[in-house]
Amino acid sequence: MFRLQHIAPSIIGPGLRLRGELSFERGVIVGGTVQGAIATSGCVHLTATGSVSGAVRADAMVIEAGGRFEGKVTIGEATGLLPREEKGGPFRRRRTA
Amino acid sequence: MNKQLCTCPHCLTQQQESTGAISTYCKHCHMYYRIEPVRMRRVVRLPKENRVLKCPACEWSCRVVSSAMSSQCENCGTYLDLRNYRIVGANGDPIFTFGSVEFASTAQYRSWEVVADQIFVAGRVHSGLRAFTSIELQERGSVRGCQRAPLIRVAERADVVAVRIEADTLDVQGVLRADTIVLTGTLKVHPGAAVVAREIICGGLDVARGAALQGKLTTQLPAREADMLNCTSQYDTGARAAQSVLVAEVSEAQDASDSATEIPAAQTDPEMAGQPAAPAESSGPALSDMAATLPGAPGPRRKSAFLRREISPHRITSRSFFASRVGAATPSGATSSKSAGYLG
Ligand SMILES: [Zn+2]
Ligand SMILES: [Zn+2]
Repeated sequence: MFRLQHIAPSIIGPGLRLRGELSFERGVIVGGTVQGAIATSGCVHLTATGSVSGAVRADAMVIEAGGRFEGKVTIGEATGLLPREEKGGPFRRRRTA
Repeated sequence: MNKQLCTCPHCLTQQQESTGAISTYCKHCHMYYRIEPVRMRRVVRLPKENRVLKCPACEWSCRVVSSAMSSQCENCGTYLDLRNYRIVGANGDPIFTFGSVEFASTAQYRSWEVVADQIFVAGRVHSGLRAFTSIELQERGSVRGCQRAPLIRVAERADVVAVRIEADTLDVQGVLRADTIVLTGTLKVHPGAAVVAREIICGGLDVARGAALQGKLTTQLPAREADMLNCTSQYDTGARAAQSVLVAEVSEAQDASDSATEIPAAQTDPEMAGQPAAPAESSGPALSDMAATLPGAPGPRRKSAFLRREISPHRITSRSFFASRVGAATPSGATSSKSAGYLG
């Protein structure tokens, strides 16, 4: 279903458990378990065996069916498409009616 | 009338008779003779019942003629609306149809829920939306309410504010702000697109480089899943079934240029607007092209061959008023520009 389109040099293989704040220069493929935040300027690719609980900051992100994730995601901050750091929450209410 | 050539057995003179005739008098010798039943008699073509719908009341699978404007459940007699609607201006009429509903950019719709096979939103909608096949949120489309459909698509250049979205697949090419997004399948965010939500629950995620996503994301948690299934079960019963049984029909739907020429006919005779006489699915070809290129789009599309019914805030009585309204609502120029919008 998903291609490994964002080739990342770092791989967290199945069976590997990591805890804490992790930073990757060119993305990461997660097949193991990560508890903690991930920051990268590349892609975070969560495979079917991968599990991440923690915040993710990245340029792209793929979660394959079966991959587990829980946490706040902020993808593509550099694109300028996301609203500025908001007061009430990520859902910036805009008057439409 | 259909005629057949008959030969008098007495004088061998031939004469034309109706295909329904079983005997006649010879015009030459005035003798009475029987006519052989014509085996090649032209068959009266009954419309094919090639569309299957689930009755919303009893869930009976009803076979209906694809070009029909309405039908009745064979089991419980519930009225089934099969028309396509196009909403312009301020409106609040309840809609439950097995056809499509299109909210034009001028639409300001406010109701409890709209149920249709396909829903296209370019205007402001303050209502829940439930589609058996898909919901497409177009440029300047705004929805306040829950949206449920197997496929929900936010088109390029669309900037959509939605409250809650429930779907199998959510495909975002524009900008989507939502409070909650619940998906059994994948959230796909294309380059240049952005999704901002307070909470996202999905089975898979594909955010391309150049796209943006922000929110609290959860996948595949058992408790969540159960909760999610509760949410989706309401459309599950009717929608998925209807989606799977919608039979592909290669129709006589005409292309956009043809439909554009049909509009003046509707202007001259308001009564014709609701009649199936003129096949005019203005955006039909463009939409089906678009749908065919979508990943995860349900395969064959039904192309309906009847006019959309215009809904306006006031009942249309004046002929000139109707003419101006139709002219303003669906000019041929708008058709082409809209098609370009979908594809561009
Ligand atoms: Zn004769
Ligand atoms: Zn019924």
